[in-house]
Amino acid sequence: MVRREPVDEIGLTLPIRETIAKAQDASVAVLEMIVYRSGAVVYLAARATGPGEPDGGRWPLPDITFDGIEATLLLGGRGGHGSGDHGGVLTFVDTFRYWLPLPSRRFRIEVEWPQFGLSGASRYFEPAQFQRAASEVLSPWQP
Amino acid sequence: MDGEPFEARSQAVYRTDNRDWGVNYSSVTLDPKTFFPPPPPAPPEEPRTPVPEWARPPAAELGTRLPLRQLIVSRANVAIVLTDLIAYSTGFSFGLEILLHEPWRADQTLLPSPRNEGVANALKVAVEFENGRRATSLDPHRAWTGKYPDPPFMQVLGYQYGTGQSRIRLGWWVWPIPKGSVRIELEWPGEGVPLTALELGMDDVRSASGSEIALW
Repeated sequence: MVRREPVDEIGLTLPIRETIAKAQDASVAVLEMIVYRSGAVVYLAARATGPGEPDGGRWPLPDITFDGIEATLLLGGRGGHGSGDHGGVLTFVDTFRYWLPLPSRRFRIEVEWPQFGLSGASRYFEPAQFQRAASEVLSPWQP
Repeated sequence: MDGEPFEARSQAVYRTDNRDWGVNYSSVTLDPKTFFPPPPPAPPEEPRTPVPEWARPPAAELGTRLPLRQLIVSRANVAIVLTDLIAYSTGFSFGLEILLHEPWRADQTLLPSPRNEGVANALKVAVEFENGRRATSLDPHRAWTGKYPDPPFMQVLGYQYGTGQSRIRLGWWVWPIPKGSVRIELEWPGEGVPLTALELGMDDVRSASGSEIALW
């Protein structure tokens, strides 16, 4: 089974762009969900502000799960962008692209980020919304 | 002792043609106060330049995604789709997805270099407001100053490759939200894509721009 965006499909982007969980210095949000015939790409962003790690590194990434659905990380982790000030306070946005099989039951996205005291979940996403979108996938090529 | 003048004597010995050459340099008296003067005081910390509102989407807003998908170009070798329209309080962004029938090659040109090298074959994108004012992907870079540009202002936000280098996603930022509609124009001579335009009503963007959620 191919676990990435099919090259011959123009997916349908669901009108979803919302915060999953928010703490004082960190937040995780859904930026995009694009549905294809066989699955969906879910694009997430995690932003946090804080002092860097003592060894000069950055804090660990959040744990993201999909309520029991097996998701494949297409691209993610430390690909984000960031900035720092002279006091050593850093702000970084890390982004993650997951491939999900078309859901057959409702699901939500769960996030744990203990470094920032962040723990939460999105609302539930309904499978009907994905199946309807999958039926509206277009072909990019002219006949 | 610290701060006291000291004597420095250097001597070097060179060997040439089996003969020793001893070279004595004269003694030099150095004053460490002038030789290593104390460093000048650190300059006052300059205030960080905030990102002007016309340059980027507001960092504290997630924006509101509007349902949209419009196939703009469909040819044998390339398809271009408008996939995104996101409203912010100060402007909007739109996304283009480029699908290639064959994986991307090194001799293809997506965007020109900052000095507009490769511009002849590059993808060109423009937005035109109803009042006839335009911004294009070939406009010169603008420094982040307090001076506002003449609207509209357009800037590529980033791009990424996917699906085995056959799918490219490009995001564009446009400032401000216009009173009327917007026309998005594109041309990609290197891929045989002629000048193509798409008209977008902005009513939904204007309505949504007042409903941003504070993200962070």
